[in-house]
Amino acid sequence: MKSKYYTTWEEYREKHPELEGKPEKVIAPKIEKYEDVMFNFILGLVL
Amino acid sequence: MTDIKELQNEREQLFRDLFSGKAPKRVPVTNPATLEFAIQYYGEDLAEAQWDIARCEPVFDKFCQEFPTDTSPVGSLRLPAFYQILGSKAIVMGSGGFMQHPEVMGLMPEEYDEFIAAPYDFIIDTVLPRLYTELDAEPSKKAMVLAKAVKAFSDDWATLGAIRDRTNAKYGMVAPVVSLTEAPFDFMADFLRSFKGISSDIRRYPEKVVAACEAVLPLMIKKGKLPNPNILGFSFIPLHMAPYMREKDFAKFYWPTFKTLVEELAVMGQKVQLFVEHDWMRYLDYLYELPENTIMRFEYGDPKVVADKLGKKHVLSGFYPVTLLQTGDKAQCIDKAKELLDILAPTGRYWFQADKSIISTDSDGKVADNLRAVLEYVYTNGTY
Repeated sequence: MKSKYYTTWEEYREKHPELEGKPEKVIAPKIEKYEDVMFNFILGLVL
Repeated sequence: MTDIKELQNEREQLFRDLFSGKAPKRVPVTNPATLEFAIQYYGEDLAEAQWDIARCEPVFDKFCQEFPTDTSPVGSLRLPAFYQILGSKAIVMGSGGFMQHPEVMGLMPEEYDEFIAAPYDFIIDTVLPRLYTELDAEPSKKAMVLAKAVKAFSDDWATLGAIRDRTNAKYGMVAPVVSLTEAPFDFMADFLRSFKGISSDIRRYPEKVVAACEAVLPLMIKKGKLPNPNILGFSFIPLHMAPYMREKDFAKFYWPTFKTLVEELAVMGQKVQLFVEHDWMRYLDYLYELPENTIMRFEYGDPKVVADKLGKKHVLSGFYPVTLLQTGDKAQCIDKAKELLDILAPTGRYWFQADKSIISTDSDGKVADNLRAVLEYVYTNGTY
C-alpha cells in the first residue's frame, strides 16, 4: 500500500538518520504499531 | 485450576474444535442481545451509559450472569465520544440514544480516477473532511481534533475492554479477538458512493467500479488482519450489497475481490466470520468456494438447503428469527430453537447465533424472558 500517510519501518528509518545505532528491535515494532493504530482508526471511520 | 477456569477452557475448546472442522462437545452459544439491549433492560439511560462507559460494568456483570452464553455479549457497539469530537455526519446518535448511520456520500463519481490512484490518501484528504465536519479545517486544527478523537476512542475502548476482561474471567467466557473489515464493493457503497450511487455507477462507470474495488482490496486485507492470528480470533465481514444485485453484476463487481479478501485472510492463518445479511440463497454455490471452515452467519434462507450445500465445508450459524422472541410464546420460541438444532447440529459445524442482533428492549420484558428460555434450551440440549 503506497501512501503519503502510511510509512513502513524501512521508509521511516531512511528519513531518520538520527536512529542509526539505536536499538532497532524495540524501536521498529513501536513505530509500526502506531502506523497501524492510525490506519485502523482512519479506516474505522469509513466502515 | 478453578472451576471457572476449567469452564473457560472447555468453552475455548468448543470454538477450537468448531473453527477447525471438528464437531465440538456441544453447540456453542452466543447471546444475540447486545450491550445496548442490556443497558436498557437493567434500567440505565442508553445515551448516558454510552458516554460514560464505566457505568456499564454492573450491567454487563448481571447480563452475563442471567443470560447463558459462551461468548461476551458486547455486539458492534459504536461509542459516541470520538464521533462527536470529529463532528460526524456518518454515524450520529439518534434521540433514543442509538448510534445510526445515515446515507452519506464521501466520494463523487467524477473523483473515481483520483481515488483509484491512492485510495488511502484520498480518504484522508477528501472523504473524511466531508463526513466529519471538524476535520474540514486548517492543518493544525485538524491535527488537534484527530488527536482528541483518537484519545477518546482509545480511552473508551480500554475501559470497555477492561470491563469485558474482568467479566469474562468471572464467568469463564470466551472472548475471541475480532477485527472488522468489508468486502471491497460494500466498502465502496457504505460511506463512499452510497447504496444509490454505487447502484448507478455499475451501469454508468463499470470499469471504474471494478478498478476501485481492486484498489481498496489491499486496504480491506490490512484492516481485517489480526495482530496475532490464532484459531480463536476472526475477521468479521458484514455483507451488504449482493442481495440487491443481479447475479451477473455480482459475479463481475462483488465476488472477485471479496473472494480474494477471504482467501488472503485465510492464508494468514485466521478465521473469517461472514454476516450473510439479507437473502443469499442464490449465491450458495459461490459461498461454497470460500476457504474451508469459513464461518457464515445467515440472516435469511432455508437452513435445510444451506446445511445440505455448505454444511460439510463451512461453519454455519444464524437463522434464528429474533422477531419470534417478540411475537411468539415461550414454547414457540423453544420449538424454533429445537427445529434449527435438528437441522443444523448434524453437520457438526453449527454455532447458535440469531439472524440479527437484539438492540432494543420491549416494555413488558417478553423478549428477555423468551431469549433466556431459548439460550437455556440450546445451552442444555445442543449436543451433536
